[in-house]
Amino acid sequence: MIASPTTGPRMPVLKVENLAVAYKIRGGEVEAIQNVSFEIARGETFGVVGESGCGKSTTAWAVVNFLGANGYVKRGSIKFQGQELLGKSGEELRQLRGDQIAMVYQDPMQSLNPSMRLGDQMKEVLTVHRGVSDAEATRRCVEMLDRVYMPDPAAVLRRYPHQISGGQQQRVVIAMALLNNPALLIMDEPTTALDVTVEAAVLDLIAELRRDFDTAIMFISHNLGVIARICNRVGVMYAGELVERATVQELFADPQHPYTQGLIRCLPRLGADKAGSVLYPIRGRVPPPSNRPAGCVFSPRCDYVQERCRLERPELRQLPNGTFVRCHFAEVIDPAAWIPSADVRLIPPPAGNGAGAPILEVQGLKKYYPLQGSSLRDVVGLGEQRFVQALEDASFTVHKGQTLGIVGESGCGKSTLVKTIIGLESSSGGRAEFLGLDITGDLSDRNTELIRELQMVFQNPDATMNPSYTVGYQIARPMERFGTVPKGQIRAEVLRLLEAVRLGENYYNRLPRQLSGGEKQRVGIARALASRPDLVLCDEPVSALDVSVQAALLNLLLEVQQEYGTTMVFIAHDLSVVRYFSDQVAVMYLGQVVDIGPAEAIYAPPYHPYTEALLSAVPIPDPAAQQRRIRLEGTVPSAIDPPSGCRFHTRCPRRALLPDGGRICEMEVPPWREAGNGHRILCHIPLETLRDLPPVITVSP
Amino acid sequence: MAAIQPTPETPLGPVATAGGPSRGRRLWSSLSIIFESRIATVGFLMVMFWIVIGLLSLVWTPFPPNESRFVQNLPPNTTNLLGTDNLGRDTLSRLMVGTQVVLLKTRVPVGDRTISLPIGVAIWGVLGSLTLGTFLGQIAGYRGGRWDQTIMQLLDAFVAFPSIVLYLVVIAALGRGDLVVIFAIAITGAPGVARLARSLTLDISTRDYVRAAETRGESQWYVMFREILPNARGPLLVDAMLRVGYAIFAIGTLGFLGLGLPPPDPDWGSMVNEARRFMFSTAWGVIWPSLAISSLVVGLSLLADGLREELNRYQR
Repeated sequence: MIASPTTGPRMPVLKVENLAVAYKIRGGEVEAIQNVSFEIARGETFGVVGESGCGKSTTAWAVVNFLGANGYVKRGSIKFQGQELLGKSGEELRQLRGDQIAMVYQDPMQSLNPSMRLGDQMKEVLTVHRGVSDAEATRRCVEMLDRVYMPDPAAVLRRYPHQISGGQQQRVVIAMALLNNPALLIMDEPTTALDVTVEAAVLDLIAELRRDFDTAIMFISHNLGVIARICNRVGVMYAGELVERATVQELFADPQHPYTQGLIRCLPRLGADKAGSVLYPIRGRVPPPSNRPAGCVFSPRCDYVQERCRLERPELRQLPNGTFVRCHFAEVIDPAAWIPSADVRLIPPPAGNGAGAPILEVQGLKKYYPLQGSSLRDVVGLGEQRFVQALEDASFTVHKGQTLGIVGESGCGKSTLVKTIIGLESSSGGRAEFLGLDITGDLSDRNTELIRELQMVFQNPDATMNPSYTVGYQIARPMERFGTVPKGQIRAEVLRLLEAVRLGENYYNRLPRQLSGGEKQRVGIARALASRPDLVLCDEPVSALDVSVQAALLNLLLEVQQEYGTTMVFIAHDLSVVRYFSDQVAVMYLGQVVDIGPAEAIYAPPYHPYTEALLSAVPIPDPAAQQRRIRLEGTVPSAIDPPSGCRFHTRCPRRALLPDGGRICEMEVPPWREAGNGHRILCHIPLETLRDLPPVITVSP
Repeated sequence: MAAIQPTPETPLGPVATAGGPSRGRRLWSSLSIIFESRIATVGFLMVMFWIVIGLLSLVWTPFPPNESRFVQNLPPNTTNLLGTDNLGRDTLSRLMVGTQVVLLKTRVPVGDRTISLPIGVAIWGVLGSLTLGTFLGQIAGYRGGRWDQTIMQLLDAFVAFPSIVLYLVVIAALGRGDLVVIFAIAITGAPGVARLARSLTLDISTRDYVRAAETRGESQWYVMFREILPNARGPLLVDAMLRVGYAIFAIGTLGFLGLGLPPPDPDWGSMVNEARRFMFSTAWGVIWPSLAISSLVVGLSLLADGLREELNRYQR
């Protein structure tokens, strides 16, 4: 099935020219995207990257004519294999879409019908569009599932979507998209909802399928790391326009547009830490489509803005190196000479700020959730009581003024750990002390003083603030509640905190719905700080935000930490962010801390095999970086019946290093191995063997 | 051209707007949501029509509503625009005054005299069920466990009785009167409100801001009534609007059974009841009050439906 690359000029599978899409709204219309032009050839992956609200998905929807009732293509042309798509009737387009163009969305659960067996859904593609017989369709579905490395495909066909894991669901969706061997595959954030290890496997799969089927892929993502790993060419979108189009190597090595340069500067490089580097957020925010500037759309946020940029909208033009860029001054801008603006420059934290006194000590902390069985014996209370072992033996110490980062896949107990520490849940066993006070109980066991010292920053910016109250009230409430500030001074103190999180006085009376996601998150931080806590727990505070907002927020957290000397526990699934932000890192797997130590030690050999696999899966925003390829098989086992011995043994790729194929891993709980400098690894494999493993990531200079 | 130097010091604050909107503006903006929806606008106009009629009847009716001064059972004519009833009273005047007890006033006996409180029986009744139901539903939803089981099982048992039976039981036990009808409406409506409040509470209490309140050790009452309730307001108010419609129906039914609001003031249900006996000679006496009841109820339903749609879109 492997197609040889044809020589000579090839007709692009998809050619989009000067596309403009407008949505009708009350009192007029807005142009969501303008002047978008690109083409995708066979066997090529074209990445579309940009912050949210920049029109990435709208572009994809325009191609498949899925703009909804109020959207329409206003100008331009979309040619698919030489045929103009615009102006075709609905029926023709429908045929074409099912037959030649396939689309994969972000959330697999929304693409699959939960009430139909997977087999029936998949076969429908063939029987409806191709008129294939049922038996033949089944055969081809099994073949295709096999092709996407689905274990036991025939059995999967009989299952319902909820019976397989998220990664497997996305595999089914991809298999379904490929069943008709489409010429064009549009993928809209296909891996965003997945864990890094699953994401890595799905990306591998996509790359392989592209080679084998010679499909043209339009790949939309906000994640530059993913783009760097999978794409050949990339288009950067900003505020509805394509501002730069280049090969992936050119784009990362020599970005031309100031926006692209800014995006890359926002990202923490894997291996960078807060002492050695600073993140530079792009100031301002993406303008809404109804309120775009007259000249260059990026001019209000551009560091190089000139008079001409404000007046004249630049055209997409080709530079000598082949890159297309929409900037008047691309040739004369030298990113190396870029100076960060004064308001984002940070004083790096004093190096070697020796660990203070231990503030939080956790020893063998456990959290079991009782499980309600469904048999009659269980209902009358005679059945054996079973538990979800969400947290099993978590042990670590956090020192004053330091940050402990916690990483791990979803379902490994990160959130449970935080909930137990803060007291939303009581623990089921083990020891936890905060400033020498016992915190194993839940909030009802704690006095106000203790509650005040532990505060939390939440993940979802849209749920972190109560929509009914103003910003000022929500920040003032903890002060009233704990009496940290005399009544008369509360307003002044709130304003000071607003200032500290870089929001002005004019935010005091705003309601949450008038705020952007990043601003809400800032208020969330201010609220957590309002009671002047000693320990702040951050549960994925930046993972729902765009990269430039994320950079600004990380800077803010660092600043706050310096100013108030706050200790932090920082949960994130993004390993580069954790590396950048934390002093100590703990890696969790299935309710256990398996690897803990200073951040730089975790990211270099000796690795715990799980850490090694995680690092290997991280998408790095640098196509030149070399990454060893280690992929975990299967999914995280159920926490109801966790594997015996080492909990990781079912998926461990390094068991073979032990004699007897690692029998001991199944039998015995592994010992803690001290790697020096406080770095501890929970593994049977001797430290010397682990030390000899090469580093996972090598960045060529 | 020389290389352009970056201009880092360009200040770029967020778009500054004046402080929060004033209370009046906020009220107007929440009112203006009605006119976003055609359905809600129609409903709003229908309800407003009856409120205006009711207000007008407080100061002026064509004839005194309780005075028999015409021929009995007249069809509509130039003097009596809607005809007269079986005692020779002007139907239009009685219909107008009938709005009052439903929407505008409640008669409370104090000693020998009767004083009128503002706001009608239907609305007080619904406010009662809203208060009781929200309170119970919030406790059930937020505390969960045994509280949830106990409260909801009891309310479900209560719902098992047909509401008309409950009305009859309450009236048989407490006698007739506006307050009794209010009480009956409040009691029978509460389980429904409680269910809605419980499901809203279950949903809202998963939000992070509720976690935030808990992690600063707020009391359960604070979380329930300050954090959760304000965000459940929209759906509860829409539901309440529908319930005012049901309550008007219920009052009509009670009036028809002769158990409704006490005479002499006319209410629509008893007007239907009285005219029923002469229905085959003159149907007008039945038609007018029936039309009044249905138009007010339909108006409230339309308003509630339109508002619900708009609120859903608004929240998204």
